[in-house]
Amino acid sequence: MILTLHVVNSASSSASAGTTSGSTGVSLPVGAVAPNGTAITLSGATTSVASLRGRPALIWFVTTWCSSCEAGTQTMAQNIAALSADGVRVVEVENYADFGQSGPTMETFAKSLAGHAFANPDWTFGEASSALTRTYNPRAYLDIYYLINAAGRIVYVNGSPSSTMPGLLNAAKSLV
Amino acid sequence: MPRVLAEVLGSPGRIAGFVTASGVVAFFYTLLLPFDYTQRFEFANWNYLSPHLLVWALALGVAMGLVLSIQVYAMRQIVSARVATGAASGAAFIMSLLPSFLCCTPMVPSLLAFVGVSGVGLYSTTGAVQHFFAVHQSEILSASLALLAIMGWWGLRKLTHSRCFTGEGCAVDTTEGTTSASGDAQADLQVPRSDPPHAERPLPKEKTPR
Repeated sequence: MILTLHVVNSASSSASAGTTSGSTGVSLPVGAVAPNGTAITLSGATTSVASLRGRPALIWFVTTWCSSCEAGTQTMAQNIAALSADGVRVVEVENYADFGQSGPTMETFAKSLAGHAFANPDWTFGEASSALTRTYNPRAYLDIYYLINAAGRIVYVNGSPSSTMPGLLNAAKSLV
Repeated sequence: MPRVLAEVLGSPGRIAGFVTASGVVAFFYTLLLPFDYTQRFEFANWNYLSPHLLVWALALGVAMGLVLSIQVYAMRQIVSARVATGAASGAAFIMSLLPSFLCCTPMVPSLLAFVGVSGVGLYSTTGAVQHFFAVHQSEILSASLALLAIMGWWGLRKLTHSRCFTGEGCAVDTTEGTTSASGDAQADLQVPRSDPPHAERPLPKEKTPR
């Protein structure tokens, strides 16, 4: 566990230093162009990673029955304004079909945990397609996110915003 | 058995040991049990320490402290008791760690990938394993607490039935002054020896050269 966290975090360290890490095998490497993929938002619209270009974006994969995902969503609600101020929009998507396990729907999850921030226009919730989940989360982690710059390159990779929010905010500030 | 428990905690030093062990373990659990929320082992975990988790931390801490006290006492009394209780309480401890360390951590997918599970199998297996520990945390913690309670009871039972404790005296090998119980037990309970210790035997007279 610790070893794997180090691998994920090493990618974020590289992002902070502005360098490109090699492929870790557990997540897409920092510096790579974010692959395209689609998700269905709660309003039913189809969105794609490619459509996010032009502004920094955080694409965050969660599982609705995961404790750290619940805590992370609450933390995100407290910090969405700061990320928005740095121009970052957040796309929080459910890992495809919650990895086949029963959990609350993404809408219930989002509304109950995001509170008033649910209505923030820079925070979108949805459900990732199978292909998008496999591309960005090949190891099936319950909680992993990617910060992508306006040019569509991955600049920061981590998980569990409840404990990694300071690093994420720093990475977002560096994009400005 | 209450008499044995009173003996196990029968001195200020032993009570201090029990309180210290319980406190350390409970402290550890206050950081561990909210691990699922942060994926980190840090003081920030206390932000997610609900009353429910605090009660679990205290219960597991007291139970582990008591088992450790009994083990330490048993180690000084009966060698066989040391082996039996040590292994099982260790299993209880490890079992109590599983929910926190397996839910929402990269440990499961990493292990599954290591053993060769990949593709669709990795997705479904990871979800199934982590979901099981996520939704059955209370049951697993209950089982851990029950196992600790059983180990505590088992240790006390063995002590109760030990001949050293019942005052019948420890078995003593009269040939060489060695005992079948531990030396510490002899010292603690001040069981009279049927044979003077070897060291206390009078030294043979030195032969004087002619």
